[in-house]
Amino acid sequence: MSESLLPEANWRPTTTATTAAASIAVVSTLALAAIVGDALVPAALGVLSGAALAATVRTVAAAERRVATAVGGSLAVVAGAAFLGWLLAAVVVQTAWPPIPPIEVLALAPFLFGLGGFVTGFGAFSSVRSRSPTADAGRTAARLLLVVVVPVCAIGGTRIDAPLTPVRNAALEFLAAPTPTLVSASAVFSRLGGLLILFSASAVAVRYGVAQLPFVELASESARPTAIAVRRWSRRFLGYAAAFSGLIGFMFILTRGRLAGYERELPPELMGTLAAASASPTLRGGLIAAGVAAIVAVLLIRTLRFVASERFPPRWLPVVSFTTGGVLTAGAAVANEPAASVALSRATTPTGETVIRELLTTFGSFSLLTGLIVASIGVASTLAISISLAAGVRALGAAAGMQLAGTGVFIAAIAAGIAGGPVLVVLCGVAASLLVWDLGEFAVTLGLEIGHRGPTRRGELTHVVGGVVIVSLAVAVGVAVVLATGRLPEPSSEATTLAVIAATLGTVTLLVVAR
Amino acid sequence: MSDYPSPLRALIELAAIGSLGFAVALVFAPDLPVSITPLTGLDVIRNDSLRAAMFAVIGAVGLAWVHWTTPSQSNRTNTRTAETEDRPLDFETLRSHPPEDAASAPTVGKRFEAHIDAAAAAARTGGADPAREQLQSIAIDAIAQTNSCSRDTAQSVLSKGEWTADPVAAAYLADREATLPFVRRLMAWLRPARTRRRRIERAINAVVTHLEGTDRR
Amino acid sequence: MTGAVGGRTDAAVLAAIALVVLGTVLGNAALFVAAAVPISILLLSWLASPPSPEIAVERRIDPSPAAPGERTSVTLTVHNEGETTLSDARFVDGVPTELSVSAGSPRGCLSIRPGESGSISYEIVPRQGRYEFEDPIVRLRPISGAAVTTTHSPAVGDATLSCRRNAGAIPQLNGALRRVGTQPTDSGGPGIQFHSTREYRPGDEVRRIDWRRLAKTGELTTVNFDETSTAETVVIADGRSAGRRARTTGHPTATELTAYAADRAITALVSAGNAVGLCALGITNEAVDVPLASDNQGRPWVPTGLDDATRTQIDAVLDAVVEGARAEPDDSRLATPSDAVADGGHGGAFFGLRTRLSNRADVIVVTPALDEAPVSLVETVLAAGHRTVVIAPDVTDCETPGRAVRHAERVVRLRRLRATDATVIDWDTRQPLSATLEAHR
Repeated sequence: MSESLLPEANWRPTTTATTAAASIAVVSTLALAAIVGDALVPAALGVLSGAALAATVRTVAAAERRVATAVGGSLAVVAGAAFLGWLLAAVVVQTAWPPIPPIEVLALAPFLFGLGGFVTGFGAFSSVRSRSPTADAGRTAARLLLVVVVPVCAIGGTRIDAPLTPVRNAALEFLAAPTPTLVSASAVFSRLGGLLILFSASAVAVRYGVAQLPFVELASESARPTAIAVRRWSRRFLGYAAAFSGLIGFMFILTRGRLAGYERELPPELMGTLAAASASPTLRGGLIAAGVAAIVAVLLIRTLRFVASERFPPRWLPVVSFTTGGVLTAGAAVANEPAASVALSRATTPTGETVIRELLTTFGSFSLLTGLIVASIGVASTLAISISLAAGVRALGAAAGMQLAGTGVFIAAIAAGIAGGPVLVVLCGVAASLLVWDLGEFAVTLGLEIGHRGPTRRGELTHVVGGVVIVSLAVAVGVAVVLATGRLPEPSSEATTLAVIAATLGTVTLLVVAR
Repeated sequence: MSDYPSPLRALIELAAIGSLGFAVALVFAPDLPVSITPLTGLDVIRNDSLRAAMFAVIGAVGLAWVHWTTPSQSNRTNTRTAETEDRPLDFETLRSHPPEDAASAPTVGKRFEAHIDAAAAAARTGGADPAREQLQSIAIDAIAQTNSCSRDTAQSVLSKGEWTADPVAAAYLADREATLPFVRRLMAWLRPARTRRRRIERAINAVVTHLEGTDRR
Repeated sequence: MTGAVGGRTDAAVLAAIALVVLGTVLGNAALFVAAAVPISILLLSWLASPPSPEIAVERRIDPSPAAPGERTSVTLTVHNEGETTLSDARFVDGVPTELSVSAGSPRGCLSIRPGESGSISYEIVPRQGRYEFEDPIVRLRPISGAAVTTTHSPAVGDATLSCRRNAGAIPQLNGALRRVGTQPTDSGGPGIQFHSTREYRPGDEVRRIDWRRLAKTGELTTVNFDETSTAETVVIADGRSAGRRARTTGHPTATELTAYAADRAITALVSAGNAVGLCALGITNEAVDVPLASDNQGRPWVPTGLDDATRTQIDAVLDAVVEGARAEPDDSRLATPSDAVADGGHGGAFFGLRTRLSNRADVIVVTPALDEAPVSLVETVLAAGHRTVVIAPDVTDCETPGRAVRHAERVVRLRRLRATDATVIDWDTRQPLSATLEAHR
């Protein structure tokens, strides 16, 4: 078995070029959004959601540790919420808060800016650490769906009251005490039998708890012999007690009819005590509580140990996902009131305020907030699945991270063009996207071929500078073309149409064929 | 090394260039020549949305084609000198069998590190600790030598733990880990393997410090 | 890379098609014109030709020849002899498969202007042998364009790393090693052989007067002692399986370093005029190429001598030790004293050695001291009255827990050895041997 001196992390994309490309991508996306229209908020939220999704994929899928999974669950909420946020912001930027239907036709540009920001953020942040995030996206989706379970149950719990009532009544009845005077002899013995069986069950549970709880392991040296002795004796005692009382209890229940005859032979005080004991709810409640406490304690100890263990078995990761869901639900329970008041106070129109108030009264702020969390995680999960699918049909190559970042900038440039921004800005945006793509491909191949240990910094800087120069030249050519076409005489519209068609067909064919 | 493109490809390229030239000519020409007026009567050209749809289809097909095929030019532009079997030019091989690595050979201390792994695994299941006995024997030798006493005396010094300033190492080697504070006992119970490994490392450090003082190799 | 998008110009093609089509579909002139940017990039790349390498690659290996375990640095210098800048030149040197790189990296990405040069350097800790370097792989990429050139570029300069036991200068022996092979002149007592007598001259030492002759004949004569070569030196090289381990992968094993230290010590002693013999532990007589005698345990034994035949036999035995060092260590034997007996440790097995050692021989034991057997060997030799020096190459350190444990055991062992009458020289193999020998007092 030969282990390589070079770890897998040595072949990651090299740092300088990747950082340069990532910063260019993010900055140019945000700059495009800011310059062209007031679409900065959707773009920024998009970048945030992309970055959070990248971090989620990395922590949830790539790192197997439980703290990472918990953090990843929270990051998924941020990712999904920011994703919904940029969609909403793209609408709000054009209308008011809150957006009330019917909404007239919306412009495409803010949505494209948000989408571009999302793709850029995801690509840029995931490429800094690894070559391609697509491998882990599918597993992330699966684990995130588990986080959703607890909040959904919480929402269901707030909505559903009726089914719980029969359960509550049955429990009370079990514990309720009938009046002693109405109890007949056979009933006393059968109830006594029931009590003894309950005692036996709880003794078994407590015995199990005593065996599992780490009294001996945590005892100090002087206390250890005592702890060992106590454990041994209590297990033995509880074992005998459970067996004995269980047997007697069964006997009482099976033979209750025939025992009625013995009632006369026993002293009346004894019978009175037995009747009281068999009917007492305190005793029953106490025994049930002891048994339940023992089981719960053992489960808690087990969970604690599994959570702390470094060799966390993957099949127990659902526990962490559920716990994260629980924590998020608790957070929603705490934060729903302030969030509701903030949403109300930010309403810009009176109709909006009425709408928000109606929503709050119909659903309740807790359900709304928890529903938002569920929706966010659902969105994040869907995005992760679609990324994984895109990788599956080989729409994304080996350098997927930076390719996505470049595509994001490209989308932003297209949005700038659609929004009617100055041509120079669109040219620069397209140039930036090509530069990001090229730098990303360069960093990936350099990492694969040379690795992190060899000297690469000078070569990287040269390439970055050279890339910027080439791209600026291309922009200059584009500007020259714009100026030239501006000078030309305006042909007739039919000629324009034909020219455009011919140019398009010719260009596309040439490009496709001449590769 | 160049190979000529196939005739079909050359024809298509020629047609494309011709259409581009046609477009440029149209831009510069003041009126539409009579011969191509019937072309403007075509439905595809006249109807806006149909035209857009046509372009969309062309674009989608072009994008898909570029996306999923290898550029034929790459074979021409990637030049390589003669490649023989045993001298790969493939960087993939250079990653899986890097020249930085040599054939693996036995190294000093590998057996003991296997014992440390076994001890960490035993901590989880509660089995015997194989590393502790060896470390105890080495520690007793070290103490007997530095204090110039017999092995029995060294054994009792080890049990009392007075030979080192590190209480964790002393407790581990004396096999009296229950004397440590409660927090350490809790960590040992929660994370047994990692704690066992750390304690072994601390014990080794304590023995080496005892032998050589704080300056060592 | 087939199928998925990866090429450098693919992005430009995709962008151009997308922009053109979207410009026409949406009727947006800005997008249509923006396609000029990717198209001009494409034109640039199509116009760029694949780079032809006009580079001169030179490799230097320093020091060459190297001693086993000596840090050797390899530097690959690339000189750009063309007229264009090499903006992205990637090199991977052809390190021989048996060697591993201990520091630095044989890969690099250089950016070299015409007329200038760049370099990559890395370090190797070699084992004994001759190693051939392969030509480095060069991949050249231009800044624009997708053309990539990948070749093996022949490297001038050093292409072979030769690692020999006799590399470097002969070390000076100081201290106890210097006194090896000589008897102190004022030791007196039985067993001293004098060489000749001469007339007494005023000023001669009183102790050197031949009193017996004076008593017999009444003449005053002075004795000339033969101070040199009155005793012989035997080197015992420990090549047993306990030492067939290295510090890390790719480094020489302790046994190889033992053979190297033994070789250097023997060479230094012979050049000072001492007669030296050799016994090797851990290998059998059959493993040696040259026929020679053995003790009754089958271990190879070279009788003391100063001539070339002895030197040949010594070299053959040490070569066999190094050969044996390449074999796997026998893990079934544990390093405890009781097992050392079974391995041939205590007095019984070393008895064969003792019968071969002449009474006045000084003994140098070269051993990595990785188990208990050398301690009993040294005690046996000392008990037989030989003056003993121990040279112990150290392949342990405190970097990893396993090595630190072996280090602690070894320190205890060496202190026990120091407590006896033997002189112990502990050689940290990360330093040169000559420095350690010369620094020893």
